[in-house]
Amino acid sequence: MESERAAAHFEDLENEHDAGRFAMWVFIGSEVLFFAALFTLFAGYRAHYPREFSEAAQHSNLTIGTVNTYVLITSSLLVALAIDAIRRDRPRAVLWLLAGAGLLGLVFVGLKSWEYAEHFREGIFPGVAYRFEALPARGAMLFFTLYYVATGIHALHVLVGLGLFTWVAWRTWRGLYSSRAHQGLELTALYWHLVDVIWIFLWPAFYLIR
Amino acid sequence: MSRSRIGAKAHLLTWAALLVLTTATLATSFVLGGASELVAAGVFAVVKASLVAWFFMHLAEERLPSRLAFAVGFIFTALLVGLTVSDVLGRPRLEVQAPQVDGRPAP
Repeated sequence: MESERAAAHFEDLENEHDAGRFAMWVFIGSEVLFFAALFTLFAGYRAHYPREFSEAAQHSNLTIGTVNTYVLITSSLLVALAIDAIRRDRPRAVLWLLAGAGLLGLVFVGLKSWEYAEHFREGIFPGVAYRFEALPARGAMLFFTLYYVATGIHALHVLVGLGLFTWVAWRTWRGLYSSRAHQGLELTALYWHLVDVIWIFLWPAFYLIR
Repeated sequence: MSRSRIGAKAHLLTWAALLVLTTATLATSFVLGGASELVAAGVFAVVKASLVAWFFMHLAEERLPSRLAFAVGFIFTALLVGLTVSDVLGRPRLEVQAPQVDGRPAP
């Protein structure tokens, strides 16, 4: 079981958990700044190539992008409800909610892969490999290169999140979490919500603003 | 010290608000265009991210240091994006001329 006794250098368990969550918030801040750098590049190039970016965005699959937005928001809800459930000492509900969130994460990755495959068939590759004949301009190539970098790194975060779900579900199943001590679950939930927040900004940038 | 906890009802209401805001963002993108569309999409995204942070991520329950870490990340992001974009937009556009010989395009 996750220890219900604080480590010696902490005043009490609540103090220890506060420190853990603070560390996670600092990590989240660094992740936000990492993606902010990509958004800055996107905004700068968009200012240089407004027409090409607009044409390229019209070629994104709006249906998949929008469905994935609803999917991630709903998976975030399930994870938030899982925290609510463990606070009430209901591990069985936690397992079901984590399974639901993980399944939605898989749906997200599946749809994203489908979209990438669609792009590859048309010759939309990142960087020098770009050979999309309908939009040959340099601005369109830059749009899709940024699209692959930003959404690819985001998808990688989703996969890490799915791995974390498996780990915390295993620990929940073994009865290692209680209403008093469930920090692994709580930090995983924070990470997953961060993944959701990043997509909330990626969706309008690459699919909506035309 | 016991702190107020965000419950399932607040989570469900947050989820409903996020769905409504997502639909509103989508609808707005078809109605508006140009700079106003850009601003609307940005405002919707910031409101949605704030809802996720405050309710789903339980920032409302956190002590000051964690809120500060979030605020610092948010402020530096705004500075990074805002100042860079204002710099790029403020530059004069330079038209690149093709090389010429005696007033005619070079062969």
